[in-house]
Amino acid sequence: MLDIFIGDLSQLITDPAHLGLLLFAVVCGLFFGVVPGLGGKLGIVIMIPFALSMEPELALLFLVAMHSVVHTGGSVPSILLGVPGTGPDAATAVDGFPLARQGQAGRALGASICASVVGGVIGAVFLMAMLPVLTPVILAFSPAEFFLLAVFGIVLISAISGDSLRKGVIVGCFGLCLSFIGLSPETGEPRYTMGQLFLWDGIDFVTVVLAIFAVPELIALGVSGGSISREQSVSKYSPRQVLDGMVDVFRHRWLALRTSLIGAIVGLIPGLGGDVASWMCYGHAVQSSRDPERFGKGAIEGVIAPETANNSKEGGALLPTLLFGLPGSSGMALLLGAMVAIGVQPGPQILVERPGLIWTLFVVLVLANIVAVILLFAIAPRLARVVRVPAGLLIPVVLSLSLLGSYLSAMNWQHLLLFLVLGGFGYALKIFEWPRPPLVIGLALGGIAEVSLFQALAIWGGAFFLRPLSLVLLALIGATIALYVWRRRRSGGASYE
Amino acid sequence: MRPLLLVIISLLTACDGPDQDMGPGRATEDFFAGRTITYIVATNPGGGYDTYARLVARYMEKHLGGANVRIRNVPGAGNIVGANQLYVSEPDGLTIGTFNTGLIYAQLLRRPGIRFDLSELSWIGKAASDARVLIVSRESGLRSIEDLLDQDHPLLFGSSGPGSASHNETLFLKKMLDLDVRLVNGLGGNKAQMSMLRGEIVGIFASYSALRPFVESGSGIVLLHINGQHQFGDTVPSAESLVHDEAGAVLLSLIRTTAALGRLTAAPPGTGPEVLARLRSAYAAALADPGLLAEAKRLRIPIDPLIGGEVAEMVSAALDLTPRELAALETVSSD
Repeated sequence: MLDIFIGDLSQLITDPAHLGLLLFAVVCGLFFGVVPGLGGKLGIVIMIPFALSMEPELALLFLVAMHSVVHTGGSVPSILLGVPGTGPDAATAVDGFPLARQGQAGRALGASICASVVGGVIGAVFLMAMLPVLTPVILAFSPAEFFLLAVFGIVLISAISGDSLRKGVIVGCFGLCLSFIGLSPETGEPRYTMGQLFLWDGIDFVTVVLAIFAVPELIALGVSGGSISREQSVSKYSPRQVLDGMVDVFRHRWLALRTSLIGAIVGLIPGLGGDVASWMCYGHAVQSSRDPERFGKGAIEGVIAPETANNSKEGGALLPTLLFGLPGSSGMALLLGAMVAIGVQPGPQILVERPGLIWTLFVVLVLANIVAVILLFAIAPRLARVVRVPAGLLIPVVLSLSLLGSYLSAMNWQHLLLFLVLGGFGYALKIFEWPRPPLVIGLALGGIAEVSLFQALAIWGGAFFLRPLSLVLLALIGATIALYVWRRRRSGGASYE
Repeated sequence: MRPLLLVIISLLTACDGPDQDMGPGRATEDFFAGRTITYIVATNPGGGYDTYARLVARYMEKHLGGANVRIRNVPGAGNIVGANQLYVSEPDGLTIGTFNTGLIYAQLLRRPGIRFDLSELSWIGKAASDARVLIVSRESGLRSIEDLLDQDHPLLFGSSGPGSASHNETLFLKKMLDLDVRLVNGLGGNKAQMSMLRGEIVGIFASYSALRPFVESGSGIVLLHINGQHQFGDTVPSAESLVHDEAGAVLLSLIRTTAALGRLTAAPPGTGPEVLARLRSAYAAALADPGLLAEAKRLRIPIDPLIGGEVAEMVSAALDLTPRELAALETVSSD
């Protein structure tokens, strides 16, 4: 096995054509991540014809490398502009953007870039380590666990992202209500769609994320004037600051390790979705912090946790896609289609028939993440200057990009109106100091929770939560609430966000 | 910024409508030269319909003498939004579209939101057919259709969800064979395979192409097929051999028709006969092009074309049910 690994590695590093292709793939991946609404899924759709013109191994190298660094690019607009490129990038904006406003954009970018590479590499290592025990782990998660994981996610985010659990739960429930719009999964009938066909497929997630996170920041910037950063000193945006951010990841190495593993495990479970990973890890960072009141105001751990998860889940998600032909996300589903098209037939036989392929993908995942970090490190100080662009110039550009992102994701003009309405609602939440993340997580997990609950009831009846793994998750939910209550009592009810 | 601009422009220009009007007296041979045809795909980018459309579009360009065929994804409401849009488009030959064949059921069952009549569309052709199969997991212990029919307690089967074509067809099959099965919604495709591996549901009734890897890996066993003679020969019984009553025959005929009419393409109602004939011939030439066939083989997507008039006849026949048959269909589907 080791000789195959060394062979693959040396071939990749020594062949200029391979390295050139890897570099191009990383640039493409970063580009699809940076532009709001594009994301890895659309990236694969656009690049498949290009990949099909190559040798099968090179095509797979290209697509996997590109897909694995999309979220590394996605953190850039999240931090600098408060505009998440896709759903999973939204968690990074919660603390990344406040850091940019405090003149620490370079540090936040540095931490995000470094956390991404750490997550990517740990995800790849996880991919290799899990191979022998993959089947039982994947099969352990049934609809009962999906339902409880969704409930856990909503409780976790509600408990950590506001000054009161009450506000968090109310906003989270509003997100849940939004998730109920569309065709009922049980009856197939339109529900809360007000006779509008565009609502049959539910409210578009990217539109909500952009509206709730980007619009309030843009309005606030317009009201206050000036630029995103309140600090005007040019010397703040130096490579040194970016380097400081990178060192931050190693200061919080245990957090980075834990969130990388959580991300990889969430990625491994088909059907849970990538949006969950980054938010769960953000929640874990807040919950495990000694001073959680810093979060939401520019805590560097709030950048590190979701960024590690975003990249580590790619390694985890590759496993069920490759070995069972079971993609965990729509992006992975497209990657699966591309694999078949280029002659790689997923299935357990892949380990026997093409043992080198898994090693190649491992090497590609690691190298792509490293190349991405080098590229972004080189341009981060320049990118960070965007936070000094005057509001009058920045707002129209960012608003246009956000609207474009919404349109590309939903593919209908009605969502643009929804974008404006929800943007106004998001601004109201911001100025009245109500938390916004529970709304997004409620929307993301509401659908999974509802469908899984009905499935669990149909399969096991009311006693579905007595399964062993379900009991563990119930205990986690209980512990989250207990920890919240204990912290509130200890701090005498002091507020934190 | 240039790559960004290129992507944005190419994505946005995909939303443009026809750029010129058709001159009624012009020869169709050069009518399409230099013109842009919008090919509406009623799903998001990346799915099966999108893959077929993008493949066919490239080869239709080749056989339409310099036309530019541009894909426009119009997803929504289970393909209904895209089909509605195609139906009300100008019948000038510059808009065509593809959507889920399951809309035949949607129209028969009068689903809300439908503003089209499939029997009025100007049919260009269909690209594929896909057998329907009843598959059970190896862990279920069932090895033949007789084993399934002999069960004395209800079994759980997966379904994509009410309103979907596969859900309706599973209910039809249940009625046809008097199967004692309960459906668990939201477990179609890959999720059904996972659920079978976990031992939660016993099986699923769906398109064979999607389940083929599951069967080939040894995890699933095909107990019954419809329109699968080509793949299974006599090794697996067909549903025809088990359906003996009139109501069952109507349901079976519906499933057979939709299974045969995979990846449909149509133009709006009232498209001129000359232009329609030109579109049909280009579509036929595209689907017979060795380049397209080679790409389809590589993509592992089946090609089994049928052109124009025959497709129109099959769609009309499927929609032409007596009030009694329709009432029976509604009863079965609301189960």
